[in-house]
Amino acid sequence: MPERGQDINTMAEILTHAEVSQEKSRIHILSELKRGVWTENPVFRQILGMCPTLAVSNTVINGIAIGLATSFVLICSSAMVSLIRKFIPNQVRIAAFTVIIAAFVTIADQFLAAMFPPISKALGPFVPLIVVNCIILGRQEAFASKNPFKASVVDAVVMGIGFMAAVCTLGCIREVLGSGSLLGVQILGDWFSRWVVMILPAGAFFSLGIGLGIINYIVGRK
Amino acid sequence: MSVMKQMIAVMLVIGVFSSLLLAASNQLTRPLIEKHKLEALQNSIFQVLAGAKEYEEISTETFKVYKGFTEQKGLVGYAFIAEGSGFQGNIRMIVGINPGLDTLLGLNVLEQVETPGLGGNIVRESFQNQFSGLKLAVSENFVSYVKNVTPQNPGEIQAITGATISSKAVVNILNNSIAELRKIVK
Repeated sequence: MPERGQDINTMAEILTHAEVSQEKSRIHILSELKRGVWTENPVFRQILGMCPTLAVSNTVINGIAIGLATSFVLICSSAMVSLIRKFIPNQVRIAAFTVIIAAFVTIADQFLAAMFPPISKALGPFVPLIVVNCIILGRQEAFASKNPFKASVVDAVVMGIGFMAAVCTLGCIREVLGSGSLLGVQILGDWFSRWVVMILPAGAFFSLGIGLGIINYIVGRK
Repeated sequence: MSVMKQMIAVMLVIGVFSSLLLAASNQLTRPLIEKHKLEALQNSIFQVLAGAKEYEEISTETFKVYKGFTEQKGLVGYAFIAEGSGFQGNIRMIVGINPGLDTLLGLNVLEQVETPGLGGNIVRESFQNQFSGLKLAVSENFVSYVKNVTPQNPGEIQAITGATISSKAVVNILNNSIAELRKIVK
């Protein structure tokens, strides 16, 4: 273990030097992935997108569906905003972002209703509500409007994966404990008394709260 | 370009571009969405009117009714949408009734947000099957519920244990809708 003060700085310099000299592209993707899924997870760390997380994490398949829909909107919006970022005046940036996001959300909603009606029905109003998902507006404001195209798209992809991972994690817990199934397949027999509360809003809050506590404790300790 | 002009220009371009995108998406998906809706309606009608192969709508502005026919154009019965407040939210059902309007042929809960595991069990076959072939009572309460005993009289069904309010809601919605239906179809 390096001692405090000077040695830490030297150590850091050596490590950064080593990192930089390795393959840039490989580090790029992995570290971005770690950022989106763990250190800057939109749900557990940035505390964004709580509403769909709570509402749609009752089963894993719903979690996957909302994760994919949100990722689609996030990637398309970030790509578009990043492309035209130099042209949007500061005063209308929120209006511009919102119009773009709303257009893609509508497309996603119509696509689901046309191609996957049962999933559209299961998600209900939460697909149109992606418009007000703070993760999307947040990433446009914090990243896509200030960074080049490729970086913005990568950021959108990893944030989408992070969101989907968060909702699916909660989904696993809630579906197994609340319905005894996983992805619709019964895995716990009748001997298990289902914790119905896990399907209800209260169970969502419990799971999310505990998840928040655990992850922030681990990340904060480092 | 002044900031004002740039603001207007940018929002205009974004607006026009988004509109074009949405018009295209709408054009592509609308036929499929309509098709799915029609299929879902058809399936639900045929589910509560066993043997029906065709249907004809005879709805009013506020009440949806459909006639179900066999392939030989024989009248199987009527299917109507029964909707109302449940315990947690709206309950929407489709109900089949015979041409004489005195026996229910089937019931299917289309939409509900009752408590999972309790009121939510109104979607279970065991509950819904009670309505297939249920002879209606002659009084105002065509359908009524009993608790913890086997139904004896016409129009009686057994409520779900621990979900009396949801069961009561289903019964009330049914009674209102049947009264409405009898006014329309005579």
